[in-house]
Order: sequence, then structure tokens, then C-alpha cells
Amino acid sequence: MTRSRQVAAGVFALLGVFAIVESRQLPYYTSNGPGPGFFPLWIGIALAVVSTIHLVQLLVPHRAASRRTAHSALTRREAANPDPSDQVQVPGDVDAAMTGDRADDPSEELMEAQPTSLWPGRASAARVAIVLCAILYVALTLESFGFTLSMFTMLVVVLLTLGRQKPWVTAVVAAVGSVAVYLVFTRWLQVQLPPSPIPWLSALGL
Amino acid sequence: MDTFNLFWDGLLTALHPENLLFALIGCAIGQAIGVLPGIGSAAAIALLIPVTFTLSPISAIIMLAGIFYGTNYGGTITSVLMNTPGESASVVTVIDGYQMARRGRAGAALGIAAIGSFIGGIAGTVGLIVAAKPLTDVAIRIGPPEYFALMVLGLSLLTGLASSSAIKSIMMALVGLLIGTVGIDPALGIPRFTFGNPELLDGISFIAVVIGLFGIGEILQNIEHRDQEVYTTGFGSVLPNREDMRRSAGPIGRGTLIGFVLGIIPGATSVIASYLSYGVEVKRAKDKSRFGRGAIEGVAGPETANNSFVNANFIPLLALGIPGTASMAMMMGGMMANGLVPGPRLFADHPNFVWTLIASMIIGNALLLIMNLPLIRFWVLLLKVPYGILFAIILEFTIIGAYSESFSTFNLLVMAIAGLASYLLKKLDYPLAPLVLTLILGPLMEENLRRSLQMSSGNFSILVDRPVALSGLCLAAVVFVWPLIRRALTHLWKVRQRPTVSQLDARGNH
Repeated sequence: MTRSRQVAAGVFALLGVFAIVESRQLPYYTSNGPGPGFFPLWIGIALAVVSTIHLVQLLVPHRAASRRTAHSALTRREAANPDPSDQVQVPGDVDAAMTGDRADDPSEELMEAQPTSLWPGRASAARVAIVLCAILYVALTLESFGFTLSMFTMLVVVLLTLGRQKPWVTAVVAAVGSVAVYLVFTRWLQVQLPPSPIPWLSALGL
Repeated sequence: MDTFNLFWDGLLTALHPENLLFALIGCAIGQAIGVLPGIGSAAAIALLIPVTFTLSPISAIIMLAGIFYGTNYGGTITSVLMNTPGESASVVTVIDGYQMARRGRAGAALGIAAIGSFIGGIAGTVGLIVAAKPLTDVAIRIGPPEYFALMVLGLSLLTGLASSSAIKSIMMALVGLLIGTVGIDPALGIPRFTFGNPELLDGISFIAVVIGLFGIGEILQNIEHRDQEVYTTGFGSVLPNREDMRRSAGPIGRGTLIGFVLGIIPGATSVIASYLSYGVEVKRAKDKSRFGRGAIEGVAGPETANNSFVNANFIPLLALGIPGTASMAMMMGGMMANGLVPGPRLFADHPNFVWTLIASMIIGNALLLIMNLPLIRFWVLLLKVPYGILFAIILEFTIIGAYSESFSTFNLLVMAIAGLASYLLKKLDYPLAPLVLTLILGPLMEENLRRSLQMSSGNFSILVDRPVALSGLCLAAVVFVWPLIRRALTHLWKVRQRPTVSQLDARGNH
């Protein structure tokens, strides 16, 4: 897990450097005040510096912290992922969970009793990929197929694979989701979603 | 009595059928969002901003605001019935609320939560009314340097106070600032960071980014795991009995105060407010063992604090133009997209808008009380929809939302990337709120800095010559540096405490 965090910090540092390089090509200061290059340059410098500091923090091996710190790291992890079980959830560091930091101190990571795997297994990664591909699919076909068709096909695929719904449920939800939603949005809410180019569909008003 | 007249006019406008309708719609949507797992208020507000373009600005903001505080009412339902917080803020309600449900007292828990939330919400709104006049007077004297300093301060509070990992918050804030620079530069009109892509000339759409970060990110997180367990338990009578009310009066009062104070300070989250309220109630209780087993005080206090917090959050936004949380940043984005810039000038330039909004908040809270007391069973029905269908619908709406902002499929790409980024960032424990905040504040900060320097002909000292600006920046500096100071002090203190033999385990480590 530490390795992933180090990589992330490194990526941010590189982003900062990239910003510095790009903004140097823009005018820094004009007679009217700061030019386009001013703000991004300083943001880039700050980002590069702060990310590098963070990277260094992650690289320098600390002395292992006490068991108490490891225990609290685990409690916080549990609190951050409330699962619907019969047990009452103890809010360890609830606000930490919401603001997104748990094991900030690298020494805690070294002392974790069971390192929960950060990255998902293959099946989970595939599910994540399907969602993203679904969005890309709609992005590509929305304007050529029209909203109704594009959304209908996307919903069918997604409901069958990820939602694991029965075919008839899928058909109903997909149909309502594409046709009814299209009509509500275009007629009532006046949001111009792309119409279908297919003649018989557009004759229906879709 | 000037304030009273303004408020009265606002109330009359808020009671217009159109505004009333949108308040109702907003509250209903907010309640539904709170009840349903898998979507939160930030994403919902972002989704609906494009829809509001066809409405009048005031109706639009009334609706968005309704969504915002409505989600708090809805989140309680899943906490009590399913031991699962529907909203991050409802986490604390789970502890005693679910236990009450197990004893067949779900109705009383939900009832007292609704009543407490209503009182908290009204208190927050009253605070806003009281604070309005003095803040308007201050407003006149605020110019670009003060604005800039205030924004820096708001940012520092969010990164410094909100999480103990200040460095990651700062990194996220900087990334947000960077993303905000993409597009046509306001000074010379030159494209910045567009790499020749015409879609980027208008900058990266913050709506698409926020929908991606919160909406898609949430879906990705949930979809990772296969099964989503959902079940409900039985109900009792809806209304809390007299004993409940007696016990809850104190917690409600204290919760209101806690939520209100924390709500005014940018950087706190509603979770902190509810958690603090819970802690206070436990401390004050004579019989502490009741907590964790269905003590009604454990529901009344936090729920009130949480709603009071949420309504008080509007104060820094409307009066100073500083959004205190990511959801507030979304409200700010929504207002700006509809042509209204929150800040001191808002009270002066658009008094009718502000006062109508304030009046509608009171109406909205009243509507939610009705929705949550007698009509609560209807909302419980929503929970029966399986997530396997729900996520697809949410996905569809995120796509519509991102697309319809500017009718560009490029936005969908932005949304997908943001979703993936959110998924990865959450795994690596990077907080998202600072990113959202700077995304919205960044361009404004640059604009104000630019104007300040124009005013002073390039002299940076304008920022320190003016007292308000100077104090703002100094305070920001202190907040930024404080975590480092604290860390250094703790480290020094630890070094002083040399480890004793008993502290070494078998391996000889500390």
C-alpha cells in the first residue's frame, strides 16, 4: 500500500513539474498585472514542492509505531466502511473517514496486522471497467444513435452484467429508463437530448 | 425593522406557487437522495444544475437548497432502519437509532430526528437572518484584496482544520487550482493548457468533474463488491411520546448550538457536528450505559446538530462568498451558473433573492417535517428498490447531467476520468473536498488577485496594507502552519519520553 502512495505522490510531483514547464511558455507578467503564466507557475511550484515533501515522508522508513496506533488504524478502517451487518458500528475516527485520511503516518502502515489489499481483484476491476466503458459507449453513440437507443442499449448491458437482473426486469427498466426519461426531459424539463436518427423512432417522437 | 420588511417580502415571494413547488420538489428529491444509497447531495446538486437553467434563478436555487438540507432528513431513515448511514452525516445516528429500531421504536427515533432537525434548521436560518444586516454593512468595504484574502482563509481552514492530513489536503487543493486554470486566460485571452483542443477553451466543466468525483466515484466503489444487503425492520408508532420529548429537549437545544457554531466556520463537516453532539450527550448523561442501546438522546442531539450545521453553512456562503464544505461549493457553483455571485455584494445587490431564499429555507424545513412525520412510510418503500437497478438509474442520470450542461459528449469523458480518479484517490486516502472547493474558488481567486494588482499597479503590498486583507492572510498563514507546529511539538515531546523496557515487545521494537 505504501508503494501505491509513493507512486501517487510522485505522480502529483510530476504534475506540478508539468505545470511549471507549460506555464513558462505563457507570458508571466504584463503591463496590466499578472499574465496567464503567473498563477499556474506558482501553483505548479507549490504542487511540486509539497508532493515531493510528501514523497520523502513516505520514503523515509520510520520506527514502527506502538500497537495502539495500528489498532486505531484498523478501527478507523472499519468505521470508514460501514457494512450492513448486525453489529453496531463504532465510529472510531469518523471525521477522518469523511475527509479521507486514515493511515497518514507511514509507520502505521508498517505495523498493520493484516494489510487489507488496496487494489481490487480481477472480477471487481472488471466491474469497475464495465461502468467506465458504459459511459464511454454513451459518449460515443449518444449523438449518432440518439438518446433513446443509446441509453437503452447501455442500460440493458449494464443491468444484465452488473445489476444481475432477470431479463424481463432489465427490459422494463431499460425501456422506462430510455423512453420515459427522454420524454420527461425533453418535453417537460426542456432539456434538449439528442433525438434518434432512425425514422420510425423519430416518428414516435423519440 | 428594515430586516423585517425584507424578510416579509422574501416570505411572500417564497410562497408564490412556482417557488413553493420547487421547494417541495427540491426537498422531496433531497429526501430521496438521502434515503437511497449510492448517491449523495453533492452529486445530486451537480446533476440538477443544468436542469435549473430553464428555471428562474430564484426557483433554481430554492430547489437546490431544498435538495441540500433535505438529504439530511433522508439519511436518518437508513441509519435507523438498516444500520447503514444513508449520508455520511448520519453515521452517528446509527449507534442508538438502530438499537431503538430493534426494540420496535423506529418510529419514535425517526420522529424525534425529524422534530430535532426541524428545530435545528430553523435555528440555523434565524441565525442567518440575524447576521444579515451587520454583514451587509461590512460588505460595502470589501474589495478585491479582501475577497482574495478571505478566499485564501477559507481554503486554509478547509485544508488545515478538516483533516489531520494537511499535506494531502493541500495537494488536492493545488490540483483543483490547476484544473481551474485550463481554458482561456482572463487577462490576455490566450488559451491555457488546452493543447489545441477546442473543447477545453471554456475550461474543464466543474459540473462534469463533481458528478464524476462524487456520483461515478460512489458507483465504482459500490460496484466493486458484489452484494448489497438490504433489509428493513418493523415500525412502532410514528410520534415520540411525552417521555421521549422530555428526554430530548436538552439534547436538541445543545445540538442546535453545536451545529450552528460549527456551521459558521468553514472547514468543519456535519459529521463532526453530530459526533460532537453525541459525545456531549454521553458526557452529560447520568446513566451512560443507556447509550449504544437505544437512548433517544443519542438520536435527538446529533440529528439536530447536523441539520443546524447544514443550515448555518449558508451563512459564510451567502454573506462572505466562502463555501465551507464541498456541498456548499456546489451551491455556489449552482448560483454562479445561474448568474448570482454569492458574497457580501449579494445582500446589497440582490436583496430580494437572498431574503426569498432564506424564507424558503424555513418553508422547506416545514415541508420536510411533514414529509417525515406522517408520510414517512412512503420513503421507507424507496428502500425496497434493489441496488442492482438503482445504480443503473443513477448512472443514467449522471450521464444526462454531465451531458446537458453544455450538450457536449466531451463532458462525459471528463466525468468518466473524474470518476476513475475519485475511485483511486479514495483508495489512497486523499480527501476530495479541497479539490472541489478550489475548482470553484480558483478562477475567482485569480480574478481577485489580478484586480487587486491592477488597483495597485502591480504592487503586492496592497494585500497587506489593507487591514481586513492583512488579518485574513495572517490567519490563513497561522492555520496552514499550525499542523506542522503541532507535529513538531508532538515529535519533540515523544523524543523526550525515552522508551522504557516495558514498552519494547519481543522483537525489540517499540
